[in-house]
Amino acid sequence: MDVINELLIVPYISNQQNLNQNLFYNIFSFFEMATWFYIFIKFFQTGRRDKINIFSIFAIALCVFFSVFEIYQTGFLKLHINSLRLFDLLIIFFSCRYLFLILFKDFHDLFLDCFFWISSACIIYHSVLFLNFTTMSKNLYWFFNDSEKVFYFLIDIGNVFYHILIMGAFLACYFQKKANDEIFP
Amino acid sequence: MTKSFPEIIAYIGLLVICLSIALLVFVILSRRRQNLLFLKNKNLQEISEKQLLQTQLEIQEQTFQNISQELHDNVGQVLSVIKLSINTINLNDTNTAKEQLIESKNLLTQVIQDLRDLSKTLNTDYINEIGLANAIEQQLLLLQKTGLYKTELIVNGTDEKYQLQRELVVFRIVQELLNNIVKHADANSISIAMTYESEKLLVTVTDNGKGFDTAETKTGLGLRNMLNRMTLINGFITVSSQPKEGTIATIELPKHSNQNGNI
Repeated sequence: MDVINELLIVPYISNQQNLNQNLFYNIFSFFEMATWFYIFIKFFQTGRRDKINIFSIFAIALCVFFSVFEIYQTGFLKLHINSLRLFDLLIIFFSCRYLFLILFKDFHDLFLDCFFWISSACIIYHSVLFLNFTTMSKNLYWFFNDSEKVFYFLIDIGNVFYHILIMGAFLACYFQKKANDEIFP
Repeated sequence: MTKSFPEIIAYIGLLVICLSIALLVFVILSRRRQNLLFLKNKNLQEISEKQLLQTQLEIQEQTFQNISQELHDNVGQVLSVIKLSINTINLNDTNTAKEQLIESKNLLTQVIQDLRDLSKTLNTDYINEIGLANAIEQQLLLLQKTGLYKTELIVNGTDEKYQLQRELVVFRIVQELLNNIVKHADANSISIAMTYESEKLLVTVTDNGKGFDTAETKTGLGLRNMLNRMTLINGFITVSSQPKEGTIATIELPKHSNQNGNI
C-alpha cells in the first residue's frame, strides 16, 4: 500500500493531474491506520484476551475521531499531522507493549516471530516519523536551510531499517511456516 | 560553532533511532538469556524426572525383592511345616493327630497374621490413615514380636502431617534402615526418635549393633538410593557409625519442599 501510494499514485496521478498531494496522503493515511490497527488487534486477539483489546479499540476510536476532527477543521487538502502523530504514538505503544509481553513468556524464539520484527520496524520507523511530523507542524522550521535535507535524511534512515526489518518479518514467517510444515506436513 | 536547528533535529532523530535499536537489543538479549535459563531448567527437570523414575523403579524392585524374601523365608517356611505336619498325621493315633492339627492351626494363624502385617506395611493408604509415627511404631512392634530386639519410639513435638508422598519416602527409608539393622547390624536394641521442629522433621534411627568404620566403608547402592530419594523430597540423610558402637542414621525433612524438590 505504501509503495503504491508513494511510487504510483502521488507521482503520477497527483502530479500529472495537478492535484494536491496531501489529498492522497490523507486518504492513504486512513487505509494505513485501518491496516495497522487491524494487524495489532488481530494479533493481540490470538493471544490471551486482556485489557489491551478494549484499550486498542478505544485508541482506534480516538485516533479516527481525532483525524476526522482535524480534517474537518483544516480541510482535506492539508495533512492532518497531529492525528498522524497520535497514530505514530499509538503504534509505538502497541509495539512496545508487545515487546514487553514477550519478556514475560517462559520461552519465545524471537527470530521465528514475525510480529517481533514488525514491532521492531514500527518502533524505529514511527519514532522517526513522529519526529518529522513534529517538525512539519512548525512552519518556521522550514525556513532553515537544511530542514528539508534533514527531513529526507531521517526518513531515508527510517525507511532502511523499516524495510530491512519487514523483510526479516517475511523471512521469519517463511521459516515459521517451514518449521510448522515439518511438524504437521 | 553553534549548530543549526535542523542539525539538532537530525541528531535527535539519530538518537531516537539509536535508542530504539538499544531497546530492541535489550529485548533480544533479555529474551535470549531467559530462553537459555528456561532450557537449562527444562534440562535439569528432565534429569530430575529421570532420576525420580529410576528411583521409583529401584524402590519397586526392592519392594518386590522384600515381598519375595518375606514369602520365601517366612510364609513359605511356615506353610511347608504345616504341610509336613499334615502329611505326617496318623489318623489312627487320635491324640497325636489332634495335637498336630492344633499346631497346624496355630501356625496357619501366624501365617495369616504375617501376611496381614506384610500387607499393611506395603499399603500406602494404611500409612496415610494411621500417620507416619504410628506406621513406624508398627514396624518396631513387628521387630519386637520376634523377641530378638528391644525397640523404642520417642516422639518429640507435636505430630504434624507432611505431604503424603514425602512421608511415604521417609517411611520406606526407615523400613530400609530397619531391614539393614536386621540383616547386618547384629543389634538387640533399636531406638527411633522423631522430632517435629517448626521448620523440619528429624528422624533418628539408632541401634547398638556392631557398627562400621564410615571412613573405610564405601557408600553402597542402598545408601546412595536413600540419599537420592531424600534429595528428591528436598531432604537429606546422614549416617554416622563407629565399630562396636552402633549406628545412628538421621533423616532430615524440611517442612516445605522447594522448587528443586520433585515431590
